Amino acid sequence: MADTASVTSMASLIDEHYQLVYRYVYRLCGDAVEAEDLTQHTFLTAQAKRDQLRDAAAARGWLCTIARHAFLRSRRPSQRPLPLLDGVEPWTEPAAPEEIDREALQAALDGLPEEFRTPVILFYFEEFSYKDIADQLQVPLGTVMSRLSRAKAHLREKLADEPPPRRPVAGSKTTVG
Amino acid sequence: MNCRDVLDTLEAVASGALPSSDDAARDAGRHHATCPACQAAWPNRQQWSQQLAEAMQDVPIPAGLRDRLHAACAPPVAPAAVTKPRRSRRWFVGSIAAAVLLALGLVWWLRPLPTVTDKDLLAAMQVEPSSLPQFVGRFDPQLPDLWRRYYELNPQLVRGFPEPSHPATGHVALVPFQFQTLGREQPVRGRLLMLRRDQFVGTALPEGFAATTVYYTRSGGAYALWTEGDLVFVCLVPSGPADLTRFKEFLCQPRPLT
Repeated sequence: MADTASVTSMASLIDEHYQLVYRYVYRLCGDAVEAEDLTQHTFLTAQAKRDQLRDAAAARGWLCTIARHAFLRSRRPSQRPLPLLDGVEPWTEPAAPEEIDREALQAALDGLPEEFRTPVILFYFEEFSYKDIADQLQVPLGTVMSRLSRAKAHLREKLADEPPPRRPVAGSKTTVG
Repeated sequence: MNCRDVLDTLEAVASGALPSSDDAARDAGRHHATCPACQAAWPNRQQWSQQLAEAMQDVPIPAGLRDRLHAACAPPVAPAAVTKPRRSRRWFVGSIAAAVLLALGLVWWLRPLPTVTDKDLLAAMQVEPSSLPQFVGRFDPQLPDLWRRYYELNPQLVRGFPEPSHPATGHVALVPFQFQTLGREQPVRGRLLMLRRDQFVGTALPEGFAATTVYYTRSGGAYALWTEGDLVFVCLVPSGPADLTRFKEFLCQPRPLT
C-alpha cells in the first residue's frame, strides 16, 4: 500500500506542478530542450527524495529548489561581472509597453546573472513571497529585495519601447522624504 | 527609503510578496501618500508588473511532456506482466520453430563422429602445422600439472580442430608445442595430436601413459601413442627417437591421470 500511495503522490505531483517546473527552468536556461531535460531530472530527483517532502503545500517551493539546483549543476559558475544598473541609477522608469515579447523577455533574462535572474523569475512567475525567495536562495531578506530591485530595473530598461528619459524625474536620485 | 524603494515595496505588497502589515510596507505607504513623484510613477510601475508577470508565464509547454514525465517516473514493470504468454498465432509459429530447432539439434548431436585411423594419425603428423587453419573454439587440454615443467603450450599455436578444412586433421587437434626439459637439456620440439577415443578406429590403443606405443617415421622422427581417459594423444618428435625417449622419461614420472 505504501508503494501505491507513493506512486499516486508522485503522479499527482507531476500533474499539479510540471508546468510550473518546466516554465521555471525554461526561464532560467532559455532553451526548450534543456528545460525538458531539467524538468525530468527535477521529478526524478523528487521521486528519489520523496521522503523529504512532508507537507504537500510546500511542494511548489521544494520542486523549484530541486530544479534550480539541477540548473546550477548544469552550469559552470558564472564569471560574468554584474552588468546591472549602469544607466539606471538615476531614478528614471521608462513607460511600460503595451505588450512584452516572450523572446525579448528571455533575452533580457539571459543578460542577468543567475543570482538576479532567479529571484525575478520567482517574483513575477509564481508570485513567490520575499520570504519564499529568500528561502530558495538561502540569502537574507534584504538581499532578496536588493537583487529584485536591480533585476527589475534591468528588465524595464531592456524591455522598454523607448529608452528612459535622460533627466531624472522629480526627487532625482537622492532620497526623498 | 527613496522613491524606487517605495515603488518596489508597493509592488511587493500588491503582488502578495510582502505583507501589508510589514513595517517597510507601512513606511512605503506613508511615503507614497505624500510624494507626488511616487504617485505619478505608481500606475506605470503597476503596468510593468502586470506585463512582466504575464510575459514571464508565456512559455509554451511541449506536447506530451506530462506523459513523458509519468513514464520516466513510473515504477519498473514486473517482467512477468510484460511477458505474459498469449495464445496467438505468434505463439503457435514460435512453438513450431522451437520444435524444428530441437529436432535439428538432436540430429546434429547424434551424428556419427568422424573416425581416425592409424593412417590418418600418421598423415596428420606429417602435416606442417602452419598450413592448418587456426584453431577456433575453447582449448583446454587438461594436461597434468607435472607436465608444465616440460612444455610450453600456447593456445595460439593450436591448429586443425575443429575446422574440418584439412583432409588429414580436420577432426583432430594438432597441437604444435614445445617441451622444455629441465637443467642442461636442450629444448625438444614436438607436436601433440588429440582426439576422442571413440574416434579412433585403428589398432588397439594402449591403456594409460605407461603403455605408450612408439612409432618411427621414415623422416627419422618418432611419435608416441597413449591414452588419457577418453582422450587419445599422439606425440611426434621430429628430431628422432632419442629425443622422444628422453622426453618419455620425463613424462613417465608419477603423475595423476586426467
